[in-house]
Amino acid sequence: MTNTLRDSPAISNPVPVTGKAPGRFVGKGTSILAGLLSLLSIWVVWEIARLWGGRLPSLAETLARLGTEWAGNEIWINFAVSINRFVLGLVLALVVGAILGVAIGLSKFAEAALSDLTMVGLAAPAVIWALLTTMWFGFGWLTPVVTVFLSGLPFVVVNIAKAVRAVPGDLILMARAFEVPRVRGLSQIIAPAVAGSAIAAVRFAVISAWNGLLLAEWFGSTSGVGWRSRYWYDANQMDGFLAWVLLFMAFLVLVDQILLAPIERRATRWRRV
Amino acid sequence: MANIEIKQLEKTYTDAKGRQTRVLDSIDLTVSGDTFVSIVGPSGSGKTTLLNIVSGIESATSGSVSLREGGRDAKVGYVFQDPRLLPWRTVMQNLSFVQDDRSDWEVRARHYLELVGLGHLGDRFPAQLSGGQQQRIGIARAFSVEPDILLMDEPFSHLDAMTSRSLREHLEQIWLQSRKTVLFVTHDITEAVQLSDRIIVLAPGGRIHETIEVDLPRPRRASDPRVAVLQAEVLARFEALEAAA
Repeated sequence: MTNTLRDSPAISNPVPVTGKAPGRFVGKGTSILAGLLSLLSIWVVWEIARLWGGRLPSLAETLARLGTEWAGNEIWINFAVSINRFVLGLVLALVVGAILGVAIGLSKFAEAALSDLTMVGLAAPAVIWALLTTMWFGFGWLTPVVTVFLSGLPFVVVNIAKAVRAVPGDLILMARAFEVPRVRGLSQIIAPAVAGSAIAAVRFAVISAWNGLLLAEWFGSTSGVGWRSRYWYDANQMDGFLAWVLLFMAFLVLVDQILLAPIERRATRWRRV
Repeated sequence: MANIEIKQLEKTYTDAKGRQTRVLDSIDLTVSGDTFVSIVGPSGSGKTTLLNIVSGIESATSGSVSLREGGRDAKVGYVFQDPRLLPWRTVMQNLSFVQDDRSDWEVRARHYLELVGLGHLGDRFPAQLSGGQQQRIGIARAFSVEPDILLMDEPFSHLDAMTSRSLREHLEQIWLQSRKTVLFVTHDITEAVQLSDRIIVLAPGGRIHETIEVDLPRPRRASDPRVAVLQAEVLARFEALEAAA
């Protein structure tokens, strides 16, 4: 009997697909439960710290302060100022970082010339940039914008360079052999290949740049969320200070989890099949 | 009728120290119509380089390659050693990716998926398929562009013996239906004898050592004694070539 493709079970039977990695919980309910547990653990740690030293306000007092800041329009005004600076610095970091990252990814000369500088950038904590820019530019809008730019830039450069190196040359040759139009090759080979690392670049840059922004406003500004938290710190009002710390963290978590993480999951969902 | 015409083709690589290595030397080859031509040769004899130059992926140092169908340039399909599927696209999307004629592409794609026995897996991602299934998708993709000329570079070399045997038989079935002009690179003598109308033997250094016509009825089976006899004969010549090298 001739062994054809159709009657060969070893070949024609599809590989079973489970849709989830073995031994890992990925259900929506599980994720919500994990998130709630995480919030609960923060509250427990907060309460222990409050009872231990007797210096911390309760969570309720802190939230009440947040309410008065809200009522006084402090949150909106300062957030608007900060977001303005943040977006400007971040967009600059993404554009310049993408150009440098592509250059490093494609050229050995650019890699040799820029990789040490990038490592220095990665190693420098955001507080160093914040102090340097404050001394350099003084109190003004340029200090936080440049700090955001410098804090985010190295992460964009490293991840974009990694993305460029990840472009599969064999698929490019395949497209050339079939004379696939260049635009289709760009959208269906290059873009998906770099998407994961590019989004990771944005996520790391957002986190690092946000830290830089807060520090720059703390040291070198008279407005913005960093400045407002320092206002309460200088007034020795722990509830006001912690209210703003909570706000910083909540903002970052929300941007990351609601905006960036789903985009990354969508761009890389083929890896999980 | 498709026509491949290769004239005085040479390819030389130059390394960083300026040393030159010739991998193809004065290749003259003409393949016309519904002919299945295999190129065999030892490692380093320039088989893949020849196919890459014919497809336009690589350029020649000198000489010329002409791929024509009637009065126009021939359309080419390529099956690689590895499947080279876009991992982030489904099977159907992979077939869609290479279509220049967008009319009826789905009908063609589904037709060839059916022919390779994978019509039911169009919405799967490559990672959900076995190596043999992925390679069959690669074959369906190449046929689905309705090429005038089909180039195949050791398409079964990464597969186990059972899978490659089945795929060979299936390839022959599809080829008998479609009758494309095929240039097929392989290091497997059995494969070459079973599939080809003509076998080109390349010698080390990239020159044509000899051409063997295969005049056996189709479809052929590896177990057919006539295939086995010819296979032994080609193998003997191949071993003599290797010994001389």
